[in-house]
Amino acid sequence: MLNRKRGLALIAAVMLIVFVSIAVLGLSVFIVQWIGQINADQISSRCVYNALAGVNYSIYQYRNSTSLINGTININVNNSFRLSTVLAGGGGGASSAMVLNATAARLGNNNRRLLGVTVRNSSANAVTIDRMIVSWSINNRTMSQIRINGNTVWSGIMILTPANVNITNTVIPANTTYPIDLIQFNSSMIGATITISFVMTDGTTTSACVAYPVQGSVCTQPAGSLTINSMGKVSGSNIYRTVSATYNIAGNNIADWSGINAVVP
Amino acid sequence: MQSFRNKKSFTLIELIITIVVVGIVAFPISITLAKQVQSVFVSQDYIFATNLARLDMDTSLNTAYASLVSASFTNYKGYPYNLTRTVVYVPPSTALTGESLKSITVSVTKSGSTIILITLVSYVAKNITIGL
Repeated sequence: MLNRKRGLALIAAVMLIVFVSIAVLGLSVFIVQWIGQINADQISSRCVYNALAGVNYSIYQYRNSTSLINGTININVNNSFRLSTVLAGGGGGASSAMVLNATAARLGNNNRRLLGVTVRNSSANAVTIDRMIVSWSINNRTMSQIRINGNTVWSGIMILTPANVNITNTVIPANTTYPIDLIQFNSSMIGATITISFVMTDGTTTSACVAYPVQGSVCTQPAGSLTINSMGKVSGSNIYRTVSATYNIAGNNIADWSGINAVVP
Repeated sequence: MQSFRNKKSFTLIELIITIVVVGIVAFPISITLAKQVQSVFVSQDYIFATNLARLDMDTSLNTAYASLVSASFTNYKGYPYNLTRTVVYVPPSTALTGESLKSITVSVTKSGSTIILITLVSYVAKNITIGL
């Protein structure tokens, strides 16, 4: 009977120690992971601002010397960004296959609609239009609808120039011409210069412009836009964040920017 | 009687051994636990510092270019953290060049400490607006 009671407190203590050890180990693992997550969050924040630095750096370089910067730029020993900058219009990619023809452009519906513009995919592959940027020279006019090949690809609240709109993705088959049936404005566009740009799904852009009152007249293409992909990095980490921005050169503004899940090569 | 004494003495030895074993094991466990608890508080500092740095950086990026200057704040926004914002021109641009680029560096420390909890850095080009 006595032998059975020997060591009882010791056994209980050992069990307690084991239990406490497991609890401490579990807590340690949790805290270590939590700290790791906080560290990753910090690095991620740094990467975002490094990427934004790249966007501003690219714009500065273009405005200062009309040079497009690509490749890795170091901010300091710990922070860097990697740039891929494309000048809209002739920027290669899918846009190089697009031919925007505005020579037959005209106004209709009390001069509130732009009609007669066509877009041709001259390549052997289908291309997809992702966005449209429409700008015009009369500031108080607004745009409310775009129709391509019989389909309304965008309609919405009346927006001012420059209108950067996310249209329904429009696929143009190989060697096919689509009419831009209409671009609807709220008032007469007589006297306006209207510029239309298509942004393809690969980020490249093609543009055309028409000037009124002379139908089909050649107008000087206003400056286009820069599509800037900037990937922020922090040394010693595999984490990266990439920002894609569209810089409107004429308007001197970043028309659109967002984070994308892509590596800048 | 002999049996009863044996029982008592065994219990005493047993208790002594138990106390020694628990003491030996509990010491490193308690140190580990204390460090973990301490790291929780340090982590909270990092989270606060990161959020405050983001706040100031976003505010700076939306500040008019000419008004974007260096500044230091004690107990930034009422929190026990000090924030330092450093704004310099990125060479070769200067205040006198037509185009210029400013570098913004935001660092946050805990009040009363010199250990930097986070440093964010970004660039901003001259007079660029964001949005349509």
